Amino acid sequence: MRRLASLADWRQRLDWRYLARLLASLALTLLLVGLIFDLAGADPVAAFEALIRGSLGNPLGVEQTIELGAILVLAGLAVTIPARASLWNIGGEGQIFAGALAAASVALKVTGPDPAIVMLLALLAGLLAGAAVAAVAGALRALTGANEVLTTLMLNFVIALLTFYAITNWFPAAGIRGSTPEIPRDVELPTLLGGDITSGVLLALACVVAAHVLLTRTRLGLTIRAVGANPEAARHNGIRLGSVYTVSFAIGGAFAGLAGAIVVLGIDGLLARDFSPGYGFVGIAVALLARSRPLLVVPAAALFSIVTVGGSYLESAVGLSADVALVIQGTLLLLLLALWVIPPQRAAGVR
Amino acid sequence: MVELLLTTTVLLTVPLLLATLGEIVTERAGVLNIGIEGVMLFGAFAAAGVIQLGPGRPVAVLAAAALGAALGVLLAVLFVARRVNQIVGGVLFNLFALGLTTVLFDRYFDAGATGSVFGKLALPLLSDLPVVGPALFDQPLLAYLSVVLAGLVWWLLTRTWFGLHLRAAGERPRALDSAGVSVGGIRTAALAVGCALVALGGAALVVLQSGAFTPNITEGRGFIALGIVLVARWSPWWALPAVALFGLAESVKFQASTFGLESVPPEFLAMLPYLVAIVTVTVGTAARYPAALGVPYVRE
Amino acid sequence: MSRHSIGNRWQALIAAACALALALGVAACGDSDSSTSGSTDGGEGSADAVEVAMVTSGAHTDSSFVQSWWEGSQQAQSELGDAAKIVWNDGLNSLDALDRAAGAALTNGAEALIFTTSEAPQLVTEYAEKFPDAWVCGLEAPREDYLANVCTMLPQYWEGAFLAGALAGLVTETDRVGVVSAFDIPVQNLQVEGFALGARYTNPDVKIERAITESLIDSGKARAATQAQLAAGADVILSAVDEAAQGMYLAARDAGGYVIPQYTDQYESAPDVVLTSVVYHHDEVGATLAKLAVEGELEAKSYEFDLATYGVGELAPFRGATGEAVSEEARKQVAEIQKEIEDGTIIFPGLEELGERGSGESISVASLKGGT
Repeated sequence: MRRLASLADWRQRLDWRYLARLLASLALTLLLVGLIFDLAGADPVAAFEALIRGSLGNPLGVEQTIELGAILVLAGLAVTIPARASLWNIGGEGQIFAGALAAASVALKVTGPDPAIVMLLALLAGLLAGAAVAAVAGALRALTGANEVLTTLMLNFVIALLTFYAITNWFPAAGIRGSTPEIPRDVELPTLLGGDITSGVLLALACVVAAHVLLTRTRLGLTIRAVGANPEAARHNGIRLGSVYTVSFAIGGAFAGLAGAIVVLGIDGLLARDFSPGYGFVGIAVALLARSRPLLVVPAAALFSIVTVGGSYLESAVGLSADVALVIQGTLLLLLLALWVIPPQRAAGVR
Repeated sequence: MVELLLTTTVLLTVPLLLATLGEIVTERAGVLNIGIEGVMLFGAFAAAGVIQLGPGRPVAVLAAAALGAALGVLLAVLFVARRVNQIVGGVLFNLFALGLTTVLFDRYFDAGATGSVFGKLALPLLSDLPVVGPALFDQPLLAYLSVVLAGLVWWLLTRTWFGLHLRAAGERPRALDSAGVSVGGIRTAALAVGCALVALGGAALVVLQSGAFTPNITEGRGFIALGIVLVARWSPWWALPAVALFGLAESVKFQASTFGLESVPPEFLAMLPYLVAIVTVTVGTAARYPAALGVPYVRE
Repeated sequence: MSRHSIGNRWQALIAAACALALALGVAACGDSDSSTSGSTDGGEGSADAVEVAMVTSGAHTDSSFVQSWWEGSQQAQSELGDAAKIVWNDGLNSLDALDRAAGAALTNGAEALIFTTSEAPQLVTEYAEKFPDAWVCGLEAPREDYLANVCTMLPQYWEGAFLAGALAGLVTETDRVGVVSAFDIPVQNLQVEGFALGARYTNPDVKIERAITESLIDSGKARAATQAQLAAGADVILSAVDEAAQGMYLAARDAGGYVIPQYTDQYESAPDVVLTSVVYHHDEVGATLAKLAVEGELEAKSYEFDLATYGVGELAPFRGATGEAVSEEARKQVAEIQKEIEDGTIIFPGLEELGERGSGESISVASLKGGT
């Protein structure tokens, strides 16, 4: 059983037709984006160069690209796991908020134990908070059939509002801004090799491996995939769909919660109201591009990260407003993805 | 105080009602349009944009509806022709809408310009009724029109050939196909009409309540409409009380002090509509989905 | 490939062409040196022009908070000419975006970075440490200690809000005033509670309505909140929401009442309902800091801008129909109060206290003049 699963898996991973279509889409996107740079009055070559230089060509840019990439990886994994069960986790944003809030709460309020222990507890709290929030949606789907797309979407708003309330009311005021006080340095995640990049990046990579192993080598993972491929057949084989739904959502939520915890403990150093520029939603695009394969989530997240960070440098380098450039790139990419990369849907419906 | 509550409720309800009606049309034809939020946003954007350009509010509203119809056709290409997964495609479309409208707004809109909303039109006699009168019968024309539209949608769905085909496309597409009617064509038309209504809802947000566009002005109302469609069991008439419930939840938020709710933190009051949505989606799921909802039709 | 892909391919091409047309349209309509774009370069400047970057969230077309900072950047650029290159970057609406823009500005050679938003003091510290040769300044409460290349600035918003409250307390005919703000965060509460204190200072019987809309830009919410306050009897309402004040004007027009917007003089936007505006002169403040930066005269301290310096927080002149609602007596009293603030007769409680929601009622009015 195990052997067969990994063989079939190899064949899927080397889907040449998909790769060819993907490369063609990317090439087309690059061409179109270059054309747009040109029309907007910037030299396309200089613009692309600024994009790469900004994200990968200077130490600060590299740091930001890698850290953003790590968060997007986790956000992508949050969507990927439930997606293999044919469920859509659109609640990544809310789960990230929950994880961030939980981690900040532990980091700032638990003072007894050793700081390193507090840090680990904070990470764990973030993970569990994200899992819990997602599990609610999963359980609602399991018990009542409530469409998980709607429930997770609504939960995003609810949790964001709860977080805003918490920032003002659960923590002492920190000056005049809308955020918690800063987390003590020794509770923060350590940086890699004494540099500036947070070790949360390693955590994210570890999660990729864990997700891959989960889906390919564990019984749970195979069950999830079986449910995703054919829910009816799975049910006839005795698999309890409800449990699978809840568990896969919980796992996805855990990844998202961890992302929130890493932002608080390793990148921002505190919890701010506006800490997320929509990580959860970009995670959906990342998972889509990675075709719900954990290993492919890494290059997918890297692509988005490079574009985002490099985009901030376009303004000072070629005078192109970063937001316009980003939107155009991002939406073109997404549109082309939708058209060329996603295979036409087969039988799966709403339920 | 009840009077103010009712008045605000009606105003807050109209955009939601229009969006719900549009989604009912689309879903009865078998297409689950998660992109409703994006279409609503575009509708609000178009209305506000046309107002800034000068022609006036009625033109702005019509322009929004026209844009909505065009977007419906675009979505039809995605969902019907290319058979993109409706949920994923919808989510991506919403991201696209949010990004594009925000950027275009930042660039081209005069954010400080004074807003422009429709004036009220009091219905004779009816508006003199105590309490209910001013709230229900002294509202802008668009509010009355939206109720009329509910009736029109019902009539369209149940009393016309088009409506018959539309419902068949959602329940039994294969039967429709063998009768010689193009399922894809019907669904495209349903998307065009549905999205026109949704965009109208977005425009209503601007011309009835705020007078201007702000980024992400819809704030999940499109998604709430998805839940209302469920609760209303895809019936235009049941949409009316369902939508009123949400409007109430939203307006309570601002009347906190009049109801002695000052001590409730504002953030919790703001959560109300979304919590109501979750509850209704959970409770309302016993309803029967149109059989072919969300399933792209493939000709044999 | 399936049978269907051939038929679908041309439809896919149409959609791709639409996307292309759309994108081309957006790009063609805009150009990189349009003055309405979210970020503008200053003058070309000479090769040794000192580059000063100003970054913020929000849009500079908001006729309010952000726009006045932007005007300051323009003012600094025109006064300094070739000696400086003032780079303005707004629309950075998340911590993430602010972080990247700050990094980009400093990496590209800015010698001073000024945050004209209060959201990110930790970024100030972080970038000051990473770029020790550049100055980094933020909009925040005074710090306990300063790195050698950090400065902070704070317009004393509560003074202006207090004046507005004093005026409202005098003008109200129902002894009820209101304030609509966006978030329950200290920098906003300073204005809300300052207003409340001011109203109680001139009118001990006054009641204050507060509403929170969770958005600085959603005028629909501001309108609904204002409607509710007006219905509850308030007749003078302070706006602590920036561009969303537009919605407040609509509500005041409908139900009758006055609105006092903040940051810029917005009388022209709604002459029938704007009683006055609280003007904080962000343009002067911003230009001052930028000039200090260019001339290399910044110090590692807190720059405080209040009513006495640059008139930060003064009320715009009373005009027209709304001006007539303010009696001679009221005008005199307000002018006196302004003097008392300027010469230190009125002393405000600390930021921590004032930043708490509800403190405007709990702080004793007598304590403002040194009593208990």
